[in-house]
Amino acid sequence: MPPGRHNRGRYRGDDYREPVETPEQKLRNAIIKLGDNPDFLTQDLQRFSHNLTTYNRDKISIIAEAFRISVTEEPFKTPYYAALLVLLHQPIPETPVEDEQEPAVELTPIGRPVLEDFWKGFQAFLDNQAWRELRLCIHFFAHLALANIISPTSLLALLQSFAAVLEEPGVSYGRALKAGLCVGEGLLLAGRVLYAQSPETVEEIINSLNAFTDSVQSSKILVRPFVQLHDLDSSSSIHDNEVLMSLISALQAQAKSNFSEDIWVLPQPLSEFPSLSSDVAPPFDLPSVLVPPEVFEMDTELGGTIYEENKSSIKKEELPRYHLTLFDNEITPDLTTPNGYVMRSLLNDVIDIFEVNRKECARLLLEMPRWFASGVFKPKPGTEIDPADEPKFEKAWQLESTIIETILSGMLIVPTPEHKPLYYFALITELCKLSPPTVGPAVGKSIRRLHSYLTDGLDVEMAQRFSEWFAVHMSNFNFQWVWKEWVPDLALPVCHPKRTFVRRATEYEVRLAYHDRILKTLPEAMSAPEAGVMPAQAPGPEFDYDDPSNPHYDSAQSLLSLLRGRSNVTEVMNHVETMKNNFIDNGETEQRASTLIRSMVMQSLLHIGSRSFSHFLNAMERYLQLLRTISVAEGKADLLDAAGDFWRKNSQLIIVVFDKLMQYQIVDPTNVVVWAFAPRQSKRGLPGLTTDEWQLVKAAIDKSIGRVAISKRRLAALRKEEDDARARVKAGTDGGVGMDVDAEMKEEAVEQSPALATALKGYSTLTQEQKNTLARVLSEFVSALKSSSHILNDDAWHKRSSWEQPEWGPWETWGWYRHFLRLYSPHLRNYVTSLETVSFDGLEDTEATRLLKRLWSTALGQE
Amino acid sequence: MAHVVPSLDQPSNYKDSQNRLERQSQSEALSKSTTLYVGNLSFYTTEEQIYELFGKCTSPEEGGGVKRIIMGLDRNTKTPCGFCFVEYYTHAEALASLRYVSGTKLDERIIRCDIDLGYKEGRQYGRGKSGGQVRDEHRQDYDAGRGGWGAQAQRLEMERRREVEARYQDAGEGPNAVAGGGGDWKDREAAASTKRARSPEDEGDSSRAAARSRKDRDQDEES
Repeated sequence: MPPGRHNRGRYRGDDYREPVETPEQKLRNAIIKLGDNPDFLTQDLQRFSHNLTTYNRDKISIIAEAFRISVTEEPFKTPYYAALLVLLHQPIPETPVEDEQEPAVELTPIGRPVLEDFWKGFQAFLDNQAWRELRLCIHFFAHLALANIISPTSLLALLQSFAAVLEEPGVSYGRALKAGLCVGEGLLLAGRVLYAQSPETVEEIINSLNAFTDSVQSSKILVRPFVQLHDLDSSSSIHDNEVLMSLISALQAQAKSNFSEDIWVLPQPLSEFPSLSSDVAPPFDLPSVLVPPEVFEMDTELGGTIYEENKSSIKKEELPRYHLTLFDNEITPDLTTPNGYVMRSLLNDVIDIFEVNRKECARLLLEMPRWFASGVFKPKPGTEIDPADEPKFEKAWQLESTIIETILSGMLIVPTPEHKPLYYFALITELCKLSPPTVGPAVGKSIRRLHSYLTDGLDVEMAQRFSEWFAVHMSNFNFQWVWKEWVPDLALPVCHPKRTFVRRATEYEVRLAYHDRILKTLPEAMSAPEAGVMPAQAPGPEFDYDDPSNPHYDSAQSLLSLLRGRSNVTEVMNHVETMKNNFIDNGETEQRASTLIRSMVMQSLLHIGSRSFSHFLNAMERYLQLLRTISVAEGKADLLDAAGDFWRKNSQLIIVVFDKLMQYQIVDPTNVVVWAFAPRQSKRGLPGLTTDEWQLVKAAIDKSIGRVAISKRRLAALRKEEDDARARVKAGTDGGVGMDVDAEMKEEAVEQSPALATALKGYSTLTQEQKNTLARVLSEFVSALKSSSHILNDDAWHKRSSWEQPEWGPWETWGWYRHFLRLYSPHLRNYVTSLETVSFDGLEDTEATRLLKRLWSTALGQE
Repeated sequence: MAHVVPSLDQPSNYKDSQNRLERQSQSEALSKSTTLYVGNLSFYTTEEQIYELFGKCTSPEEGGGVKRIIMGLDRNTKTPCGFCFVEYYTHAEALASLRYVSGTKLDERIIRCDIDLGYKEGRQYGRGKSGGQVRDEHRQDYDAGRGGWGAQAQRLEMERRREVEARYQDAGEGPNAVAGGGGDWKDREAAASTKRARSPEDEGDSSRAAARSRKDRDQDEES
């Protein structure tokens, strides 16, 4: 009997069964699924509303909960939920009486109680500062205000409470942005009634949004997608839009027509119920609210002196968000127009909300036209259109291009997108799988457009994410790309961003596949080694001591065979010591002999470990003690040099090996930083960072930040444990007779707490290490960039087509400097004074040093 | 957000059929697990390829990363047999892989991920009669990536096969057969011991083969 074939039944009995739905769940789900059936007609809302009123009037809180879920998780259906709630406010027509004996019962509408209960949920979102939910509830309120269910005055007051956030002293950008979006989107949707109510208030709110974006103008130089180093303030690019600015433009466009124009992309389900009585009841007044103050995660638990420099909590999202435009405004919605904004913002919400299930998300996105007014998107190719309807589609956008553009612009948000980039990659993959003939071309066009942006100074981090997406995408679709259209780019200088992109994209593809597989996807003009796209051979290891002509061949081989034979550490250490003495006897200096030893040990272990990642880990773990012994002091740099040489053809393995050397604490993050910035041949002997080297710097910083994070969590857990123990002891003591001895012992244990003392000491060491790493990165950037003024003028930039390594090298390094600052500013802020002194003091005043300081002070909010 | 659609990072009905934990404690362990079982790999896929893709789900700034990868091997030939374990430092990273990687391609095959109770000694080997995975025991179709190669074998796959066959010939047995992957930071000055760091669950817990079964029998058995 094959293993596992028997006793299946046992597990079967144990299986989860589909839980039986309670009537409450049934009701809730019926509301949530409203309209999901493809046969759904707007007219069905009437019957649905009737059913709720007649049979579920005792379940108000469940109905309200279902509304809350639907509005915040399916925002594309909000116009329909608003319509349903309007219908729930209508008087119920008397049901024809079947039994003459029973008098007809007139039912009071349940709309108002549902709305009142809904409001409780809004209040809860407010208490939890669930910003997206708040914003989406405001959408719902806006629709209800248009239908006169909610009073415009009270909605306007609500928006004003949110607008007040913008004027809080020292408000963080993230909080202000979220509040600003609530306000602006509410205005955009309900503008018609709000403006009619009070044009002054509406204009006042728009002005306060404007004033806020003006106040954060300077920080935009850190995140603009297109970089002109000599002129960071110019916002000349037509290919990007900042979110809040776009919303303001959309509002201003509406204001021009006194908000008389409807948002035509949204469906108007109520228009199908012409007989509705418009004033069934006085409109609901939303209660007035106060947006609770920002919550800071205060580390009260950690307290004490070690925390002095690290008081503020680490937050993200402190910077304006730019969305890249990939298509013309006739093809995809323009974010700066009222309808374009509404569309893009809804798609963005869907992409964020359905992050938990990319497959469902893809399906929903492709079904979006159902939820918008007809004529918003072009009909599917092949669909027959009534000639009479044709004018309707004149302004129509292309669905797939709109979706892909929205996903990619979200993926390219800097410093970090909302979700991991891989989510966006995987989502696009699902879309392509669902509808290859329509999504495929949109993806292809997007790739071409992004590629064309590389010439215009596209941000280095965006370019990096683009190449990563490209490789992952191709990996999911048989690596089919029409490379030949980029063959003419081979005439560009070898370090031009377009050529760098192609090299990096193919390299990332190779990492996911293998060398020969990718090589054969290239046209001949590109696959030839002299084309400079891919190397002729797979990026294998380079063991320096493999060549018998190497003077140290014999020594290295003897060491290698010991290590390969898994000899014990002491034996190897003795051998190494003897080798070293031999080198010295043969005229090497002590220092040189040590370096040689380190190189041989490191490379031999890597040689043994070159079969696979696991082999590498095994080899390292077996000889950790050896590595630690030989790497004291400056030895760490030698180990990295040896490892870097060994994997010089394979940037992936350098990252993996360096990461584990840090993980096992053989080297420190600062060693890796120094190695990354060092001049080497690939950079024509210039200091600075390529994309691969930035990845190492980032890995080093993240390692030190990650360690602090772990140690913080551990400390918090220990504190809690001790508090609990103390509480238990206290309870025990209070327990009375017979417990005394026991309690005393426990008390003692709690008081000593050696674990906590150790953890605190570790935490302080790690915080110091983190600071050292950041300081080192900053000073390396300063020394690599301080003499790069030659590329910082208009003239130089316009001659970039003939730039070579001495220009593109520093240009890229500047890009990583900017990214470093915007990504780690929350951490840098903790050490601002000491870092500044170390890095900027005594610098000559040049174009370059001024720019270094300007970016720094902007990122640190000192402007 | 799980009212409208189910999240992809919920544990599936995959289970280690030889695990003897009760369901309750199993699901508790799964809710903290940092290990993934990865199935439907090509026999030729390398750990570096796996690292590249799964590395995209890591959060090093939270103290995460790929801790180690344990390649599933044919018990007899010591060659990869189409599955592996990827162990992260944090649970959140494993969940991210379920949401973003499972069901996408690696090495041109759609791979499948499941949250796993964690590697135990011996689990790196296939449980099929002939050494590989049970699913390949009875498989009828031709699958070039999983050893199903005959007259029309793909040339490229042949090339790769040579390398692959030699790679794990040194694979060992016993408690130290697979690497630990490096533990959390330790203050080495304070603790004199340089003993290597391993996850506590790795220590000497060898699960005996036990009566086994699983619901989703047509899929991977090794898990």
